[in-house]
Amino acid sequence: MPKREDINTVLVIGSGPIIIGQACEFDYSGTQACKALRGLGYKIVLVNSNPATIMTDPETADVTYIEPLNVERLTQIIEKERPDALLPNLGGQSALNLCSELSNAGVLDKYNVQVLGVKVDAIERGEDRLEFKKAMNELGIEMARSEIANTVDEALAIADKLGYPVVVRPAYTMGGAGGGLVYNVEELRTVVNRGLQASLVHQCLIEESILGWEELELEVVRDAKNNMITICFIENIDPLGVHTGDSFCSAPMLTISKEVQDRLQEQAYRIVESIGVIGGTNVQFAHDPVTDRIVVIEINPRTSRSSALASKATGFPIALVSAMLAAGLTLDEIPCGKYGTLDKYYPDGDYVVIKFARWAFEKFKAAEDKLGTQMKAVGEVMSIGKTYKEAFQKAIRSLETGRYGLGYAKNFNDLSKDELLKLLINPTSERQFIMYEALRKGATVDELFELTKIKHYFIEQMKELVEEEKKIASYKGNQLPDDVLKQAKKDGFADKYISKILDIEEKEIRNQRLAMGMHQVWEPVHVSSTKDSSYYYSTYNGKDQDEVSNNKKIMILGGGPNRIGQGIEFDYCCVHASLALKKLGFETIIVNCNPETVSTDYDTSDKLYFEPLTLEDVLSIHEKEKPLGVIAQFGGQTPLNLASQLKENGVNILGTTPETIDMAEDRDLFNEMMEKLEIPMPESGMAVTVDDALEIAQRIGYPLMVRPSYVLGGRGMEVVYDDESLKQYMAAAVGVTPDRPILIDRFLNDAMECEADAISDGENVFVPAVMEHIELAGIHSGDSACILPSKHIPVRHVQTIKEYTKKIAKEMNVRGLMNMQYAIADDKVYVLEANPRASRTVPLVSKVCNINMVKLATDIVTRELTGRPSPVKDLKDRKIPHIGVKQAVFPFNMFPEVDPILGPEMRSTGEVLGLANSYGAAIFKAEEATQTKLPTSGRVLISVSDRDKKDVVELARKYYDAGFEIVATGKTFELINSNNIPAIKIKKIKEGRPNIVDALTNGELDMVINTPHGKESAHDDSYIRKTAIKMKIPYMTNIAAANAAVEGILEAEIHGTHEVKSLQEYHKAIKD
Amino acid sequence: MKAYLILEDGNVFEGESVGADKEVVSEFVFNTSMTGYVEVLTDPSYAGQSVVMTYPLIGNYGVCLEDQESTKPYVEGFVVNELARLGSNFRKNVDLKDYLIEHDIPCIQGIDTRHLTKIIRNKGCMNGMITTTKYDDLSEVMGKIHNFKVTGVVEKTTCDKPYKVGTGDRKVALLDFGAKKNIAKSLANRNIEVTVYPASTPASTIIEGNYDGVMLSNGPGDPSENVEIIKEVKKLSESGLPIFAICLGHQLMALAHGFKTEKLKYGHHGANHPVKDLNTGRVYISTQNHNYVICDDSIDRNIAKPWFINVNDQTIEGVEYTGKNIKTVQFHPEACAGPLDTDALFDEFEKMMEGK
Repeated sequence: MPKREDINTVLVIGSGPIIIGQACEFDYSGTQACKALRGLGYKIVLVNSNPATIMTDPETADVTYIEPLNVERLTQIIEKERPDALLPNLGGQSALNLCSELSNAGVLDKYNVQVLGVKVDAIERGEDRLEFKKAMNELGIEMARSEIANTVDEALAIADKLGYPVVVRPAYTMGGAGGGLVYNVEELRTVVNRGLQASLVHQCLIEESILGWEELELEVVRDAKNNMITICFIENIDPLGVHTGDSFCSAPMLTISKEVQDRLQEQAYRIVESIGVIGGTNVQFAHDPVTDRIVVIEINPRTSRSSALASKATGFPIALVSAMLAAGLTLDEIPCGKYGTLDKYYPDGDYVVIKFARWAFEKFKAAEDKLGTQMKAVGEVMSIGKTYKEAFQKAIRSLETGRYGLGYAKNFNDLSKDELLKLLINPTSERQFIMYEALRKGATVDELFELTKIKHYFIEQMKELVEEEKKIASYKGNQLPDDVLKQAKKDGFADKYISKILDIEEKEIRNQRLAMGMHQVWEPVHVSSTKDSSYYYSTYNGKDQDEVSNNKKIMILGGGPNRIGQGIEFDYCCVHASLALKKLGFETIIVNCNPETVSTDYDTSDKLYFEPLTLEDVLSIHEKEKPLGVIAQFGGQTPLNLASQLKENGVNILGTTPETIDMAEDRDLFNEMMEKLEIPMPESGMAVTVDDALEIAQRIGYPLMVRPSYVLGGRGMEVVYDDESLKQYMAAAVGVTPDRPILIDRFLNDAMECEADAISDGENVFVPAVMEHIELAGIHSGDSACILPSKHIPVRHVQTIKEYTKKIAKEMNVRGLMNMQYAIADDKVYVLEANPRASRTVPLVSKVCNINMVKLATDIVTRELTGRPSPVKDLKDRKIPHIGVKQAVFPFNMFPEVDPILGPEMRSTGEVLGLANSYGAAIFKAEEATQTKLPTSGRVLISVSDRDKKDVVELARKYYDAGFEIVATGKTFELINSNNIPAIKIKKIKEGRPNIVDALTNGELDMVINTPHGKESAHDDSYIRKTAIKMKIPYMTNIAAANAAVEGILEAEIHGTHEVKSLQEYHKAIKD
Repeated sequence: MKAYLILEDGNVFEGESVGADKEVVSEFVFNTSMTGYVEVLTDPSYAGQSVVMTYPLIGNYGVCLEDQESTKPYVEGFVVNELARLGSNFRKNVDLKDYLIEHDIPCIQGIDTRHLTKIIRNKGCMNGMITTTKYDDLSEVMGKIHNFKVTGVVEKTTCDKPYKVGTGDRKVALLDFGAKKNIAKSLANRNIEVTVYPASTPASTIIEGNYDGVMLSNGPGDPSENVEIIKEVKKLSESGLPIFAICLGHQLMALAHGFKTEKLKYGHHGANHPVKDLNTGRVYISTQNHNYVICDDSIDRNIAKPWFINVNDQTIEGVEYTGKNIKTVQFHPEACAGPLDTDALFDEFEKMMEGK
């Protein structure tokens, strides 16, 4: 069937901020959808609250709304844009749920909006456990035995029937939020309680445990003619019990016999046909290897994390094709080089794809490293190899955890076999690394299988690696015989890892390898629905060498796996760099290993190398492609850490030099430069030993900000108040060397933090806008809400900041992008740090100020090759009539044991943007976009630490004047009351009942302002914040944020927040 | 132990011997299936041939004897990139390595099978040798390799005496030229009583047996070699019995009608070959395993017409005989080690028998 002519305008819903369970794979799928639909001639209206995405670029859609994703906003947008159709199955579960809500609210009918790709009742059939079960029953397809519980009591009765352990699965959540495996009645009560809260429909499924079964996934694509094809068969190597998002996976299935795969496909087709999805569907099965029972676990009638993985693993662009199918095309009309048309697609290939998750437990001190049915990973890597061993080891070095092989992680090598086996009882993020050491200590394959239920095949493969490593180690201190090295490389051992085992330089290994003629070769991954594409993976198990073009090429190093501190923003930058380079006439090469990204989409670059970002892998590609230069400054910390080494090996790093980047990190050099430029900095020093640190502390005085050098996202950053905590910090710091000392700065109390992104050609520098942080100094800039352009910074300080930025950029000869962090204390601007590279805020500034910073920077860094004039001189300050507020989004709901307070270490996974013509409306929208809308009336709980008592009266008065009832605890209550502000007293948890928790649970409080009592306080008040998160009540953990919130509330009352406005409209209003 | 793969074009690959320690000369073909190696090994159509598995990891789930396509493996040799030391599967009876040794089949691992596949694809399928002897002078063995020809393989793979599979009202005679087990099973699943006959069975035995239909099976080797069998097939084709034929059976039927067969450059071996039904225009993904094909221009359009063609190279994949109740396909509708797409052809055979 040809494309549908009865529709013109299509509304595409994005997935919102990056959270655990919903990451940038939906930017990838949404962007592909826009591409596909625009290619078919439709007008696209796009809505997403996440500003760091490629999909919210003003060029991706015809009309772009960066607005909160909820029924009210969507209704406003639909009313304004009057789309003919809505495409909901490419924006994750969020978009699907929203579509279902819009339909239930009658909005779609009222405005005559058709839903493409998936029927609304199909969403319910897919997501509503009861409906799904009914549908499966009708098809005669088995599911795990289970029943629906609407209350805790019902759950208890069901569990008695099924026998413990049972699995609790809340309906309509993503990443399994609120669910879990429970072994006893008490656990069941707790988890069901949490699950009912988390579920949109307050329903939980209580299910028989199928723990230890094989977990198998199929990605099926169906068209309107009922043609179906299977794109990919994915085997979760971690058996059931670990969420698929956390599972270590392979594609294709490696240990599943043909006969079982055939049965899975046959069942999947029947399910997909009955649900009636047009486009991609993910079907998850469990197979009991003992009884051979197959049960379907769930389906996702939409693109998903797995479909992004499947797309990258097979070269089949599922989202692109799904969008085309949703528009009415059928598979037999979509050409596909190798197969003629897509209806003939059949998965093939002669390689193995491995997915490995990236976690962030180290960021959440109290969090327990334990994997279960609730997803904990913040990102993932994919690797491709010829053999399982090769792909597996490539995955490990792709993770960027400083590990290049499976051995010697943490202290595992020091533990005995028994200790290691004990660590394997519960699945953790370290499981594979522990297994490796256990095998080394003599554990048998059967022993490990019994503990982990990971298949013998995989353990045996690992054992082969352990044996091989032992052989390698027998040559310690020497070079390896050629044949041993050859085999090691074929099995995926990294040069760097071998060098560590042998205790010789990595360079020696590389030289020996090259002298032997042992090069990586690159084999292509065929991309379906394209004529030819250049998508490659490397292997040491091959001969074939693809021809290399003689075009002028530039290589862009991507950002690797998503993790806290390094997210989608850097992918945005890499994608824009590639687009800009193409326009400048270069052939572009992207190297990256994150399957969720747009940068690894087949047509973002001319050539895609799906490879780990390590010296070995990048140098190999460089040697083959011989690009004119390499851009490292857009991919975040990952490529920056490589830049110097690459340069030493003769690579031309474009733009700001690696030396400059290093200088910015070197406190001594940087201080010297600031002194020379007469720019004030908080006093600081660098320490390698405890004594150094104490000496510096004495010179500067407490409080101090301490952090390791060369990290992103404030990893290991802390504020210390006394010698004791400083000593503790230094003792706990690992990997401190004279090259990588601990940085110590005076901590500016109550300072306002601000930052500026600059574009510089070395001579001319442009700062589009200065950003003001809402939270005060001490809270990581990535976690702080941020106002753009600044609202409360006096004009003279804004001028000073711009001036300093220009001076520093010029002095450092920055070519490209730079990010500057400042603090204003006692009416004086201090420089905190300079980062001569793309920052997290680049997409934000670009979108709010309508300036494509990356494109400009790309133009600058390639000037030596193009001879083009610098674009910076022509950039002028422009009046921005609107205001943007960025708000961070945190994964605390996934880590219920963690105190959700903010500090110098970044913990947010994503961000949203509120855009409006007034500051208050913008902050109101930003909060709304995080899905905790600010109340405009009701009761606010105020409970603050002693340090904040001085500000509490003024704050309480603001809320009182805004019409709120004030509820307060102990001393806070007395203080407020004695200042003639009426307040209600409430009990803390230790003061009896009813107390705060009761009030929060009963929904008697509409907002919480609770600043943590911190270390000096004897009792912990984190339960207040934890309960607020559980009950989805907006909460503020510092006075600045609380002040900002009331400003938003007031303005919302005065001016209203009803307006929705497209990015294109905002941009049009910007005047010179 | 080191092992060598010597191709008749002079290419020599070094690898490791992981199967039986035995020197074999055979024809070499490649198979692109990502899984289903047990079904491949035990497909009698491979008699006289060694199989190169393009997918690099083989043996991961061991061998389940239940999955065998016949009673034993028929390949002469097996060429893989990596043979799993230990396979995981609860149904596993034996690891692949031990299975190969037990059946005296040499296997060489550590071969860049992608590269080897490319050579065969470019130059056509060719003879070769797997050996653990290092020949410094290839001319010692080249003569032997060149002269090798796959012959007499139908006799080797067919059954010794007739036997029955399944029960039902309808009765079908299956002529076993090296039949995959699943053909009889697919019929039996449809409530058909199948009598499997050795390849040398005279047509008269079947015609007198009062069957509802006849199925001609797949099998190995050069079809034109089977001169005596072709004569019997001709008699069957004139008997008025509904006949459905697969693979070798399809070729024998063509030869019985005076059409010709020719050898393909590198054959069709794998689970993902698109074939088009010329009557409906629909494309199916089929499992295939054949080196020979019916010459399109040898088909007398007055007697028969092409039914299926291969979408990739347009070769004949199925024939309908005009005015006769005979249909034949080159690919494997019984589909083990492949998609289940074309299973409907068995329904077609049932329809043919209904209209008898």
